[in-house]
Amino acid sequence: MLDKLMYPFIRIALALYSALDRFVSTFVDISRIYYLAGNILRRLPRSFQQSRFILEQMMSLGIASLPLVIITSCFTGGVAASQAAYQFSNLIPMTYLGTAVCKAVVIELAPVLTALVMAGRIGASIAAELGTMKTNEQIDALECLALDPLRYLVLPRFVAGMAMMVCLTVFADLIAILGAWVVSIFFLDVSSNLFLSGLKLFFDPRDVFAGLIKAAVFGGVITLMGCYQGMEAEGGAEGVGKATMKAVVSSCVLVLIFDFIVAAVIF
Amino acid sequence: MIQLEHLKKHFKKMEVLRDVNLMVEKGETMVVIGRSGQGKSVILKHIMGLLQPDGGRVLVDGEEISTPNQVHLYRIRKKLGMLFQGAALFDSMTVGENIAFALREHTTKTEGEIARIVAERLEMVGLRGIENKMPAELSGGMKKRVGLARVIAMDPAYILYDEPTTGLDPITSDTINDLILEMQSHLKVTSIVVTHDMVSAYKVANRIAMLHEGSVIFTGSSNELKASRDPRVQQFIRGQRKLMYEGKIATEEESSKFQEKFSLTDLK
Repeated sequence: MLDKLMYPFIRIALALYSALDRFVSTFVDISRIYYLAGNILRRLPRSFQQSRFILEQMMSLGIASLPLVIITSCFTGGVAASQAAYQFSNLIPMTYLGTAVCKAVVIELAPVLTALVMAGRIGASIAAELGTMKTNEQIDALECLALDPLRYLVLPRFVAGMAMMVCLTVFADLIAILGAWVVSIFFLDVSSNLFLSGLKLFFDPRDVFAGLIKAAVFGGVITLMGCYQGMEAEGGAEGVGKATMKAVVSSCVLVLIFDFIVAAVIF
Repeated sequence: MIQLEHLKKHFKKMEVLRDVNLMVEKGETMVVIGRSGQGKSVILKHIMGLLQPDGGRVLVDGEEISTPNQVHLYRIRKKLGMLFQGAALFDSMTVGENIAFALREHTTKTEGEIARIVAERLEMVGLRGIENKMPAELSGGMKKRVGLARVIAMDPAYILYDEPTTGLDPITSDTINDLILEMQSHLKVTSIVVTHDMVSAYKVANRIAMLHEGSVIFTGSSNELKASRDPRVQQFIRGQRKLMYEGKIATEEESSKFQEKFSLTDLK
């Protein structure tokens, strides 16, 4: 009888304990990520020594992602143009279509959507690769050869991730504007000259620069989360799966948070 | 010389090492035996500085590797090499690149010299000419031998073997045992071998230490181990579920007496 009466209270106590445990472990995670980021930044000035590994990572993280970025940014530009035209209808002249698309793509859409796609692609691949290396004791083996895993595994991915995110965002900017231009001409009855004149009207190189700063920050965040979750993976295939999922989810959330922070600082 | 002094380690609520004291002299091969889950591999990870102890310390040639403040960690590690249970080869690299990796990063040797050392080390482990193979193309025994070639490429003074014969057929196991002996005789390395394969232990050991419930309960030669009257040692080396007493399976009364005396819990 007493057991039945106590049962709801025990459930509540356990739920509170589990919530508290998750709260504490989140703070532990944040402090560890902060510590990892500090260690990476400390090694950054000597990253040129790892140029061979950085180039390898640039190829696998960046160049291999190009087709995916081209497809997503092409449709992003097209959607941006058609949505802007819909909002403008009967209210704003179509001269400003190019302006609106350019500003939206360069400042926000290209960096953020490229980062979200990359979080899925490179964030997951880094976490899975390092997680498998961790569970197969390859990271321990590296340590046993007196080689620092941060220098050989994390730093090259971090530097390559930042650099390639900037390059991919430049591509995404160009392809998205191209997509918007094509959609404007063929689907929105906006002439090429009108679109391009609008594009030039309020074009400010500082917008492009701001978008690229965002891209560099997102690249750092995605690779940092991928590396952190991979290096913390435990318990075989299930652990690697969990690490990969956590890397993608946390990267996506952090990309949006840092988007706000960087925008608040720059603009 | 490697010294383990009052080593303690627990993971979450499980106490793995209670009070481990062990001294490995230069040039000898020390085999650490014990049941699965007794913390044998944990000892090796402490010696490599991969884990920090909760108490006690590990000294390698008089230098403490177990302190988190050790600024010379990588210098001390260069004296050590470890062969992992699953070989832990870098699967994105070829066999040759695996062996050459540490040489490229730690030395100023030319590519020609490195290629010569790689070929020489592969020859030593009986795997000539497989430099361009990927680890995925190798059998379990070959992986372990490549792992050993990678370890000896840097000429370490100490080699730690984590279950070197586990999962291998008896003939391949014997090949690995012979290699451990060759490393000792040709390269004069000091070795610590963690195993529960008694055939391997008797073959390669100069001394054997038995780990039981977080402490070393026996240290001595193979013959001393066989002659030990400790029922826990006899039970393990004979591979019997029940305790031994005076060479015979203990009666229930004798078993309960030992269990009480040695706090044994996992026998039924």
